[in-house]
Amino acid sequence: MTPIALTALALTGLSPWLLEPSATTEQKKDKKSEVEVVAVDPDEAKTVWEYLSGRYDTNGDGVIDKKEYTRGSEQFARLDKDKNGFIDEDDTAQAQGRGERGGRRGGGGGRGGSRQTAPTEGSKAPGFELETLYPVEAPADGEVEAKKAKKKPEYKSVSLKSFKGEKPVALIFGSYT
Amino acid sequence: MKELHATYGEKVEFLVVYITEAHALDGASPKGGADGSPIVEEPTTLEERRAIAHRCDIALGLAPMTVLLDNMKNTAGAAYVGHPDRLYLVDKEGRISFVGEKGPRGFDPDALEDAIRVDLEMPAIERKKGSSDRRRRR
Repeated sequence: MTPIALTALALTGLSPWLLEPSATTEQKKDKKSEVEVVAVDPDEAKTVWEYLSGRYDTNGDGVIDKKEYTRGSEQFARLDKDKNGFIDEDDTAQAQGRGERGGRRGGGGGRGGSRQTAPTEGSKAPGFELETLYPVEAPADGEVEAKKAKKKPEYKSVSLKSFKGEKPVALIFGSYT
Repeated sequence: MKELHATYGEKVEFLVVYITEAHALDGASPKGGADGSPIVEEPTTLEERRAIAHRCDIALGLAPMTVLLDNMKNTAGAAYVGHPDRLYLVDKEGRISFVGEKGPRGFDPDALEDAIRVDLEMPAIERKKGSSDRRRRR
């Protein structure tokens, strides 16, 4: 299987947090436990079928029918490889196999259409303003933190243009998969 | 990337933009499950994307960099053709000074580092020979 970029991120970096739980472990723990709240679904599934059946096969009959699947017909059709009207383990075996063979390249038609070309060097960088993954850091003060914990987390928005005139920005686009 | 962030993080802002899944199991190019790779459905809400990005951070430790979530229209990913992964450098004036190749094959932190050094007017570095898959680039 092809390595993904964010894996490359971790592998090419020193990855000190992952590999060396050292003197700063305590601080890290604090940071992580704070964000744990955000994690909704660190699924333990080992296979795609385990994942899907655990989620959608609500009547436990070993297949997922259209009523059980809650994410729309387009996705259902994609997952129902043999088009028998159900998603079952055979369907996911195929999906997994295809990934491993890696034969098919440049499919991606479902990705919003035509292939685009990336912006060129020297051109103005397209602006964006996006939410951060993690909530705004709570102040170190204990009382304030306790108050904050009850509230919904607030996410800061960061815009590209806020760095203009300040410093260069390295952008890393990627996903987990 | 973390090396780069550790080295240049004070002078350069590193933004990870978490975009649409490259290999969601219900996507166009499914993968996952095999050899322990993550099993992920394409998120339909920002909160789902946040949860996946969080798993990604736990696994890969992105957090020293600022991690941003693309919106559910995938605006930033589309504007930068970020899918499946790609690197950029935007200079102080807001112009693109470096465009990485399309990943994963073209994902090249060394090339980004070279571009950063040009931007910061630092001397270029000699790349060590045989640093495995790292492609050298002038």
